[in-house]
Amino acid sequence: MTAELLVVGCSHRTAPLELRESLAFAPDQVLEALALARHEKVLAETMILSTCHRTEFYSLTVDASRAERYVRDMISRLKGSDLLGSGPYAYAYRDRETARHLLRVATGLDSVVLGEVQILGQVREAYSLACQGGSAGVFLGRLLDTALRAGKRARAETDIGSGAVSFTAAAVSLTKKIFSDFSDKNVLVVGSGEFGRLAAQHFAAERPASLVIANRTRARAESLCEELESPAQAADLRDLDALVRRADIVVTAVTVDQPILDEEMVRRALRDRGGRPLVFADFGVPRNVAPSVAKLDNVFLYSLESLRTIVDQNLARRRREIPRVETIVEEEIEKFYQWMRGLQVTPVVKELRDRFEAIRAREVESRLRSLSPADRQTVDALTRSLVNKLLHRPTTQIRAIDLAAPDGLSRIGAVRELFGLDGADAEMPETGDSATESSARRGPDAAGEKP
Amino acid sequence: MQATLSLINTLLPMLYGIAAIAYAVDFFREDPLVMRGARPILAGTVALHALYLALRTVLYEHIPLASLYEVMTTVAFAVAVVYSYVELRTKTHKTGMFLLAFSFVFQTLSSAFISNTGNFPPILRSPLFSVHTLSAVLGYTAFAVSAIYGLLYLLLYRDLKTSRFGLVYQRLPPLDMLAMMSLRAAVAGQVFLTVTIAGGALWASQQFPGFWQDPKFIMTGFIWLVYGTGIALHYGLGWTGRRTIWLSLVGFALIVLSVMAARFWLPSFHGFA
Repeated sequence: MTAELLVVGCSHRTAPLELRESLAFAPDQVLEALALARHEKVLAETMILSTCHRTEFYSLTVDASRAERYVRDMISRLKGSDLLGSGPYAYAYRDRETARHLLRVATGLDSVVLGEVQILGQVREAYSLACQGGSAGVFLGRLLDTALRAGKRARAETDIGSGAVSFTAAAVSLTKKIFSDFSDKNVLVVGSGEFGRLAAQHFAAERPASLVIANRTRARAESLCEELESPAQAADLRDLDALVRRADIVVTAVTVDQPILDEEMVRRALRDRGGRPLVFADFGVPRNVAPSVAKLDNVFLYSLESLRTIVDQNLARRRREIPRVETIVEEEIEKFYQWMRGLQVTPVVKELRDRFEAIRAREVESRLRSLSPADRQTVDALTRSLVNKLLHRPTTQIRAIDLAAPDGLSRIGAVRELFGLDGADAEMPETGDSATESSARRGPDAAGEKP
Repeated sequence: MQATLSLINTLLPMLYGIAAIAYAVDFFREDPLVMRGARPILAGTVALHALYLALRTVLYEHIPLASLYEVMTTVAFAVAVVYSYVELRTKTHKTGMFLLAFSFVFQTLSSAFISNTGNFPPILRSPLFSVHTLSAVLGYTAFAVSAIYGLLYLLLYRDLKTSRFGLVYQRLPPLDMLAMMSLRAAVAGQVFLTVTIAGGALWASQQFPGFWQDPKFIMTGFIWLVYGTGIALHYGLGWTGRRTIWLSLVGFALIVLSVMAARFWLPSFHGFA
């Protein structure tokens, strides 16, 4: 039997959130599952990739059908029910499709947000857990190297990961088109709800000169300040007028009936700015900043609608890159299978030649002892030449087998079966009365002699 | 040598055209392959242009600033050199199309109309005159660069104000960087213009006693005041953005007007420029 790759799992494409939540494995649960798989020896190598959008078991196995059943059974045991067993939620891919799936995941082609970069770190983390759990071997290691390389290439050689595709990231990228350097800019975030939090996180990552979070409930603003990586100050929404005058970038995300910033307030803020631009990103619905503010010189006002234009443009650009990323995926898969071919075909050829050489040497040794040294040398050379000629075509044919082809692995399996090359314990063919004797005289290279 | 000069004179507009087109292709289509070719083309063109100016200097025994069309070829060269420097410093090549188009237009006009200027008037052979003309060309070049970056600023400003996120938004450097490039070029231009006026006044006081009544001299003084005001407002009162950009553009429009006026309309001893 020949080992093949298998992936069993579900993702945002096939399963609802509730099912994905039930199936999710925390790192300690991953280690527990890997320990179980190692102990029960159905899967030769295993890696579990579990994120909020997918849970997938990658494995190397000699019996894919049994392994697939085993994974479902293991999930039943660990999660209390057969979560992948019923409904159209699960998928299972074998061999080349498994590699293709992992590479598509790593390049962001299979992500909820096309081209998102976090998945690369999650794949790396999954492999790290597999190594920690002792269930990653040479095949998965190579496959992971291939996947990570494909992920990096996709982001370096194409625009699959370029451009902001969330509203808050779009606000940051837009602001960067006005200010090239944030180190002397003051950012004011009004509101500490979901948009306020995300905007504060995104702008904090740019390390501005100051970041102020203003909220009706000051305690909530203070709590958000503590969550952020870089220093931020909490402020009261009642001081908005003064806060805007000190800001270069104002993000608003509060729920109000009327705009909290009108034209007059912004005019006052502009008074001492000497024409320096003032940027407003308004996430509020209804709007937090009066639309008439946009007509003021050196004021840039962006609503959710404008930000959506940027997000849509960037997503469209990413979608245009899909064919180029698919090409990278195919190139990397081909490299992986070239490596697999080298790994699997070469040992078969070597085993086959070793086996024939062992038989030849044994026969020459046992039957021609009475010949003179010169005659023995002649027969030795003759039999070597004969074996080489007999093996020439099989060797050429084996080397030509394309493991990437659908029947590649099964053809290699057939060769192993035909010549009895399965494993070190395969029996050597015996010839008549010399059998017992020859067993003791096998050369050190003879097949079947390893412990 | 004359034949070599003629050949280079014909080649230069073509090479600037090819370089500008290559940078334009990159601007519109972002093709790294084109950029890999565009940079050597620009470097080669600048080197060939330097050789051309050197050959003219040797052959006609004066630096090529004695006629309008000699000034134009020198300005085209200086803009290309300034752009190459900006690209090296800022690592952004998205403004190349605009500056090289300027070089292309100036070089094309120069190549078409430039003539043998061997009969250079001895009166213009003074070292003071050389300082005056050289700093004038460098100053005008810097002002031209300032104006181009100013125009790009206004284009990007308009698109950002109206939430148009097209090519201008995607390709141009940030607004404050364009403003900074425009301002720095204007400051450099102002320094050269100051030297131009001082050197010119010293030289003309020996040759043309009533030089301060010359229309070109008066207009140049006015240009100096416009740029000086903009720079003073920036460093003194913190003015920035559109207001200083507009001053730079008004200043450049006055430069073009003064050059044309001195050449074609007004009686001036600045007949060549």
